[in-house]
Parts: sequence; structure tokens; C-alpha cells
Amino acid sequence: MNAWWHDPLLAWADIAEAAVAVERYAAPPARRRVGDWWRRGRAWCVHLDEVHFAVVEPPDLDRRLRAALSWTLRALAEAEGRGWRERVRAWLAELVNLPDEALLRRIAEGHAPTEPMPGDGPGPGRFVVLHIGPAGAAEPASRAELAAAVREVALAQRSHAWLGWVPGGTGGQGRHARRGGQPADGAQAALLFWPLDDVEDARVMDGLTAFIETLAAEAFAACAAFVGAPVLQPQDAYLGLATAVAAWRSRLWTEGARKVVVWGENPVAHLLQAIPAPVVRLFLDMVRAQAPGGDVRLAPELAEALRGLIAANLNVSEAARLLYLHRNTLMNRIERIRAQTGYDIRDFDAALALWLATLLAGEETEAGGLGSGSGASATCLRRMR
Amino acid sequence: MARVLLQNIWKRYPGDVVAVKNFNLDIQDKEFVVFVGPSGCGKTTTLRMVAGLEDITEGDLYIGDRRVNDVAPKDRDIAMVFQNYALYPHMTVYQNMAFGLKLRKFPKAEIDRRVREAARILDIEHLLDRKPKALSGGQRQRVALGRAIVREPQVFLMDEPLSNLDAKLRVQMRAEIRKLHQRIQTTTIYVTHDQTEAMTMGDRIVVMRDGVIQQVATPQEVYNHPVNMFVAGFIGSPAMNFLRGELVEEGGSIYFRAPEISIRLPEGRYPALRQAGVIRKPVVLGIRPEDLHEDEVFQATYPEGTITGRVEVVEHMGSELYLHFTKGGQPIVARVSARFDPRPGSEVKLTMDMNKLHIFDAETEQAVGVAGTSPAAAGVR
Repeated sequence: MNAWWHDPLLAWADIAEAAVAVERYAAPPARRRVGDWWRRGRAWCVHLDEVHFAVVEPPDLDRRLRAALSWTLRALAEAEGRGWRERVRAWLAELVNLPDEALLRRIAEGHAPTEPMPGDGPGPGRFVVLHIGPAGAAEPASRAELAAAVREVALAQRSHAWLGWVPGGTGGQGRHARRGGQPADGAQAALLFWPLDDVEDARVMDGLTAFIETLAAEAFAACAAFVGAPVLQPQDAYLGLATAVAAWRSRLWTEGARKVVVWGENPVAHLLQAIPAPVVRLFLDMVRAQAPGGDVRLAPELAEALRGLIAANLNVSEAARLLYLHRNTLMNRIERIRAQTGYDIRDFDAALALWLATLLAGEETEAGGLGSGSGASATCLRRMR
Repeated sequence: MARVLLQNIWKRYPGDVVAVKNFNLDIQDKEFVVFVGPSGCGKTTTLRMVAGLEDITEGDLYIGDRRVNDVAPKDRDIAMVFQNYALYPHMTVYQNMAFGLKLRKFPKAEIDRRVREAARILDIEHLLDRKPKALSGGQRQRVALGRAIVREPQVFLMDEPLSNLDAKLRVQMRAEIRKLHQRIQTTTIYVTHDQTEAMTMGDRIVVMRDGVIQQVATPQEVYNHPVNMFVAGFIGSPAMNFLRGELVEEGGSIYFRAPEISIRLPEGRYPALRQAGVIRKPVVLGIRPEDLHEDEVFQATYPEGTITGRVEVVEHMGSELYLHFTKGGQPIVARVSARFDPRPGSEVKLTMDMNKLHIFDAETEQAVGVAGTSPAAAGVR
């Protein structure tokens, strides 16, 4: 499919009796509007989109002819841009309200909407859900002010990337979404489309890290970016968006300190998200059946012991070192876990069952809070990959 | 300007991941404190808690006289500088520096005064009309610093601000940040994983590991009197040599014994070693590579500290050499003058500076037999 600017550009070249060559930017242009002109040597260049520009001959091109092309390109860009942006927003509104299972099923099955993307759709890039953490005191006024500041900085940094706020603001709470509950955590989220000339992960990561640090320094906002799968062509857009939403939803399963999380980095988290609720209950019943008191929820220090032991590949001495505990203290905690749950976590199967149970225990808590034993961590998730 | 006080600070992430454990530190007004440690040790998390970008799970944080645990980041009167200085590409240097103040609705005249003052301090007045793409790496870093300076904060928080610069520029900017601190005298917390940066910049350095403060002291104190093997190994390059062995007492003298090594320790340390109860116990003897000497004066002064070894590798560093050899199966590195130029395979005789030996308990890894190894003496208040 030709780009939206292709035909009008050729038609204009005919009228203006100009020769036109389309080139790709070596790096995305800083802040250039569609239809902006500049000189490269003696030749005139005009900005087409984030990726392309046209080099136009002859060099003594009439100012009115240039203005006519600018006006045409801008009018078309606005119409085309509005088209795909609106379509993306509509998809987003639907995706954030899907339960985890349904969202992940759509991704797994490569779901694609039947209607074509208006115009040229988004160029190469990635959708990013920008999660804005709660502001210190977290009163509503403070949150609104923070969100406004984030928007200002984001627009100043990457005006074309901003697609708007995620509907519901505080919605999409991942593991809670399957129950339909979306408890507010005082956070807001925005959707961005991060255009790039190539889909090199390192560049996306560097750019987003710098963006997030700028938001912290300028707007005093604690943000994290959840990055979807690459969008190389318009038909990738739906899955690119869905994966960004799924990555965002997995944040409660991941370590809080990470600022950029890319879809695909936490397969175990997504697997756990996708388990249907009745199966989770069945699994927990089986695990509890072994516990003398029927309770496998662990006190924080015991959950930490379990996490440390898994992180240390079940090596007690190494776990004691990681946890800054004396080996005997850790042994004592392992024994307490065994007495309470019936599981000796020095054994791999037992540690795995208990670890999964503590992760999934939060699923059952109707109040939406995680059980005290929700303690296994992203450290564990990462090490198990 | 302000004092920053962190009292019993804990950070737990959901799922009981403990990132910072019982962090206590009293940073004096105008002080330049460096948090240093390996990746994942909790230094950035601590800084972000001071900034308000992370909630404090437990404990109290004071900036000046105000408890700020529940104060929004923008109201803490701080300014941050990060490693990734994303300048606004379409704005001039002036506009970049003014943007944060504009966002906070400062009057135009005040913005102008602050931007010009910061530009004067940073010596970038001549760059105010340029756009970022026309700046060098060092100039961009200065603009990033300028964005923080214009806020005229009580505290600067810097998170690895030099990590993206090349080695030469990093050294230059290190000195510039230090000079800047001397000029504006604002309390500064600086995070780095680079021990050289920490040693050269901090009034005091805070060595962290696994979310726990290991030692707080001046750079010299941390270097000369590390409280445990982690600090001893982390600070200094090449890292301190560790020789595993045991202490034995014979005929009134205390010896460090390991395969092929027997060293009579200086008498002055006997009372402390006896008191620490490490005689006949496994210990680790630490000696820095630069405290192994090839010259005969040392051999005459400390004959009991002389060891011989066959050189395996010689690393030429210009004015000095790193000699790698093995003694009793334990690797040793010595940093000696380039004038002493042994060939690989040759036998060398090196003498330990007996005043600079470190003894660590092999089980706890804590320094023993020296004064100043308690947490209080280590500077943890």
C-alpha cells in the first residue's frame, strides 16, 4: 500500500514540474511538522512523516508552490492521523475492559479486527502504556496536577507520540481485572505511540528510559513504561496495542523498581494471568490439602525466606547470604514453613508448588488485596525464565 | 540548604521484595554524600525515596526540619539529575533550562534571572540560544545540570549523571560537579556504581549492598579501614587480595598461616585479635595490591611480611605494573613500580606493609582486631 502522501506528492510534482525523490531519515526528526520545508545544500526538502522526507528539484522552487504542497500535506495528514488515532483509542477502550484471560487469548490467537486501519496507520514503532505512579500525598488535586505536568513534558519531548489518557485512568489492574474489580491505586496511565526508524530494542529502551527520567526530573512523576510488541505495518497495530496493555497489566506480578517493561519479558506472569479462576481455586485447594491447618499464606519473613531460597536455587547458604540472615535463622524459617504448610521448600517440587500458591493466593482475596503470602517476587519470576 | 535525615527507612515492593533495609543516615547541610554499591544494592531506590518517586514503606525522612514522607515530590524542594538527560530537541538551551520553571508558573522575570544565573555558574552563557543538537556531550550535561540548578533547591539528587559520558569527559565532569558544589554549597546526594567516582567526589561515601548500609565514612576511612570484606573488595582497584588461613599463637607471637604462607603479625594488634576471639579460627587476611612492595627497604623493615612467588602474568599499566601470581593456591595481585620489570615465570620477593594488613573473620566476613569496626564507628548514625 502506498503511503498517504504518495499520490498527492506525485500530483503536485506534475503541476510544479518538479523532480521528487523520497528518502528515509537516518534518525527520527526532532520536531518537524508535516509539510515543513528546509534546505539541504541547494535542494529543497519537505517533511512527510516520522520516517520519510522528499527531496525536491529545482532549487529555485516558487514559494507559493511550496506553500500549496505544505497545505495539502497537512490537511491530508490531519485527516489520516485522526483516522488511525481514533481507531486506536476505540480499541484501547475495549481492551482495558477485557478480563486478563480474554485479552491474552486474543493475543495468543493473533486476533485482528476485520475493518482496515484508516489511511496509512501508525508507522513503525511500539505502543507504550505510560503508567504514572501515585503522587506522594496522592490527593485528587495533586494527581490531576501531576497528570497535567506529565502531559506537558511528554508533549514537549515527543509531541507526536502522545495518544491520550487510558480510559478509566486507574483501570486495568491486571490480576484483579479477571474478577471485574479495578481498585484505584491513585495511578493514571497514558498511551503513547513510540515511533522509530528501526525496531532495535536497545534504542527503544534508551529513549524510553531517558523520557521517564525527564518526567521524573521535570514533572516529579514516578512513571513506568509498558511496551508492546513491534508494529512494523498497520495490520500489526491491534496486537501491538493489546500486548502493551497486557504488559501494563502484568505490572503487579513484576518487580516494582523496573521502569521499562517490554511485552514478552515476563512469560510466567502472563501464564499465571491466563489461568481461569476455577482452576486457580482447584490448585490452591490441592496445595492447602497438605497443610495441617489448611493455610499456606506466609508471614512476610517466611515469604522472604521462600523467595530467597528460590533466588538462590534452593542453596540454603547462598540464600542466607542473599537475605542477610544467619544460616541458622534461615533454617529456622524453613522449618516454620514446613510446620505451617507441610512443604519442605528445600525440595524443588515443594518450593514450586508453594511459590505458585503464594502468588495465586491473591486471586482469591475478594477484597482485592494480596494475601500476606503473595510473597514470591519478580526476582523469582525472572530466575525461572 | 538543608540537612537530610533518614531514620529506619525500609522499602518493600509488592510481594515482599525488600529493596532497602533499615537505612539510617544523617546528611549534614552542604554535605556531598555519595551512595555507592553494585547494581541492585538499593542506592537508587533510596535516592528515589528521598525524591518522593518511591513511597517509604517504613521509617522517617526529614528534609530540613520537615518530615516529608507524605509530601509530594514537587513540594520537597529538591532537584534531580539523571544519567539520561533528555533535552527538548526543538527548544534552545535557554528554553530547556526555563521549561521546568514555566511548568510551575514562575514569573517571567524570575525565570530569566535564574536561567542566566545558572548559565553563568555553568559557564554556558554563550550557548543559551543554541539547540541541543548543536552541543557537545559535555555541554548537554551542563544544560541538564542547569535545569536542576534553576530550581534553586535545598537538595540535589544525582543518579549516575555521568554514566553516559565517555571516560575522558566523565573525569572532567566529575571535577566540574565537585567545583559546582563548592560554589553553590547545596546538600547533594550522588548515586554511582563507580567506586572511583565515589572516592573522588564524596565528603562521605555510603557503601551499600543488598539494601543494607555496609559503611559510612570519608573516602580515606573507607579505603584504609573497611569494616568488612565486601567494602574491602569493592573499594580499590585492583581489588584487595584475600588470603584464607588461620591465626595461631606460638611463643607469644600471633601468626597468620595458610599453605606456603606464614606471617608474624605486628605485636600492636595482638590485644585486639585476642579480644576478638579469632585465634585458632579461620580468618581472611586482606592486603591491597599497592601494599605489596618490591623494594629492599620494605624487606628490611618487615622481613616477617615477605613472600615469594612465581610471576604468572605481568600487566603493563604505564607507570606501574600489575603482577599476578599464586601462593599456596591463592591468587595474589601486586601493584608495583614499572621500574621493577620481572618476566613471567620469574621468582619475585614482595613484602607486605604490615601496618596495612586487614584481618577478617572468615565466617562473618567482618574486620577484626582493629578499632572502629562497630557500626557506630563505621559512621552509621
